[in-house]
Amino acid sequence: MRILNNKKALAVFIVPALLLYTLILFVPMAQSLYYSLLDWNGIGKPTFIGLQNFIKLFHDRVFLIAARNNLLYILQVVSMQLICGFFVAVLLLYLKRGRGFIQTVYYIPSVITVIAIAQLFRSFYSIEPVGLFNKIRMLFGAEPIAFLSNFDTVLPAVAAVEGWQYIGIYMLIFYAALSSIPRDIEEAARIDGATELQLLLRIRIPQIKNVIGLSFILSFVGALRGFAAPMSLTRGGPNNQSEILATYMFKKAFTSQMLGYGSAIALIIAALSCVCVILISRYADEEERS
Amino acid sequence: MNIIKRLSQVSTKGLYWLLIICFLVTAAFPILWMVTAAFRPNIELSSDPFGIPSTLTLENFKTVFTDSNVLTYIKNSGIVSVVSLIAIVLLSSMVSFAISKMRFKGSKGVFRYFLVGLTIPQAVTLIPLFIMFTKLNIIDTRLSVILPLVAFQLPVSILLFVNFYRYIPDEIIEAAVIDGCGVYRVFFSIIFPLSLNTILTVLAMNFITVWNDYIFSLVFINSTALKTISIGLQDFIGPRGLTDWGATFASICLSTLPTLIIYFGLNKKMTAGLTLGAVKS
Repeated sequence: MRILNNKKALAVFIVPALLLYTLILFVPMAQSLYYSLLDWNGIGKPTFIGLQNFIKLFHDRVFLIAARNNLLYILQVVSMQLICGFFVAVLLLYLKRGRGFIQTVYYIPSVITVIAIAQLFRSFYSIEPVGLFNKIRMLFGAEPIAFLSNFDTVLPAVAAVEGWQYIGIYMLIFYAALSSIPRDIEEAARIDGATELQLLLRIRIPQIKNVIGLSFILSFVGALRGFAAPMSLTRGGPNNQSEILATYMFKKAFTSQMLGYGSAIALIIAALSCVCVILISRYADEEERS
Repeated sequence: MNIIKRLSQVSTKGLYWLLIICFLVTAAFPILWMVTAAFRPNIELSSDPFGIPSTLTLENFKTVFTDSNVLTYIKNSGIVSVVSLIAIVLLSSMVSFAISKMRFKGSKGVFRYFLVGLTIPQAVTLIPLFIMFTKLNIIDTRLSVILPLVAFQLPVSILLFVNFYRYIPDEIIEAAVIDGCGVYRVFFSIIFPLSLNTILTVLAMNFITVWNDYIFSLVFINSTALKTISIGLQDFIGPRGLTDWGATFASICLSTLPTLIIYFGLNKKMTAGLTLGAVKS
C-alpha cells in the first residue's frame, strides 16, 4: 500500500484545511496575546504598555459584572438545556406513538437563527403592548414588569433565549442514548422489582453517563459562544446588567476602538474555553481506550 | 385496595400526559405564534399581540418585498452558504481521509489539533481577524465572512467524516490499488461517493450554522448590499425600539424557510449526525 504513504498526496489532502484553520483560529489567538499588551485604537501608532490592560481589567467594574454575568449565563443555559432535554427524553421513552412528531417539533427552534428567536422573545417579554409573559403574570394577579429593563430579570430573560432554543438537540441526544440501552438489562431490573424511578437512577443514568458528560461539554461550549441573543436584545444593558464578556469585548473593540483592551478581554474568554479543551481531550482519551 | 391502585395508575397516566402536553406546548406554541404573527395586521401586533387573531393579511409580506432589503439579504446568505458548504465538504473530507486512511506519523495529533477548534469561541478571534482582513483588503467582502465560517465549521465536519471513514474496510482501497488506482482516484471516485450519507449530514448540519451566522457578518460586513439575513432581521427596529413587528415576523418566516426545508428533507441525516456519539458509547 505504497500509495497511502505518498507524501505529496498527503500534503494535498491536509495542508489547505490545516492552513486555513490555523490562520483563522490559532494565529489570531497568538496575535491577541500580543495585542493585549498594547494601547491601540487601530489607526494610530500602538504603544506597548505591558500588563497594564490586565491590571485595568481587574479594577474595571463593568468587566467584573460581565464576568459574573457570563458565568451565570452559562449556568442557566446549560442547566435549562440539559435538564429539560433529559426530562423530555425520559418522558418519550414511555410514549408508544407520536414520538417522531414530538422530536421533530422540539428540534425546529434549533434550526432557526438566534436573532429570530431573540425577536420572538422580545415580544413575549414586552410590557407595552402586553406580551405573553406579562399576560400570564396578570392572570395570576401580579403586576406586569418590563423583563428586559428590570435589573433582576434581564439576565435570566436574555439567557432563556438560547436555553430554550436548543433543548431539542439535547433531547435527541439523550433519547438516542437512552433507547440504545440493551432491553434485557432493564427487563431484569423490572423483574427484580425496581420501580421506574430506581430504574432511572440506578440503571439508565449510569448507563449513559458518557453521553451526559459529552452533552455537558457541548452545551457548555455553546453557552460560552453565546453572543447574539444578548447583543440583539439588550446590547448588555440596562446599566450592564446583561453584559457578558463577548458583548463587552465587542463594544470596547469596535465601538470604543480600544483594540488592546478588547484583546485582553478576548484572552479571558479564551482562558475559559481552555477548560473545555481539557474536558474534550479527557473525553477523547476515554473514547480511545474503549 | 384494587380501587386505590387503579386510581393511582390513572392519575399517573393523567400526570404523564399533562407533562407531555405541557412540554409540547412550550416547544410548539412560540413557533406557531411566530408564523401566525407574520400574517396579522400590524395594528393588532402593536396593540394586543397575544389576543386571538381577528384577521389575516399578506400586508407584511408586501412590505418586506417592496419596501425592504430582505430579499438582498437572503440572496447574500445564500451565496455565502453555498460557497462555504462546498469548501467545508471538500476540505474536511480530504483531511479526514488522510487522517483515517493514509499512513503517517502524527495522524492522531492532526485529528486532536482539529478537535480543539470545537471549543474556541468565535468572539476570541474577532479583533485579530478584523485587523488581518483590513490589511488583506478583504474587509466588507463576502470572503471575510466565508473564510472564518469555513474554518470554524471544519472541526465538527472532520469529526463526522473521520467517524464514517473508520468503518470503510481497507480491503476496498487495497482492491482499487491493485486495479491500478492512484491515491487521488481512490479518494475521489471511491471513498467520496461512498460517503454520500455523511456528506448529506455534514451539509445539513453546517447549512444551519452557516445560514444563521450573525457574529462574522456583524463585524466584517458594512455595506447593506452584502449584509446577511441575521443582521437584516433587525432592520425593522426603528429608533427607540419602535418595531414594525409584522414585517419583522414576515421576514423571519421567509429567512427560516430554507432551513426548514433542509430540516424536513434531511431530518434523518441530521439526527444521525447529532446522535452519533450517543449511540456509539
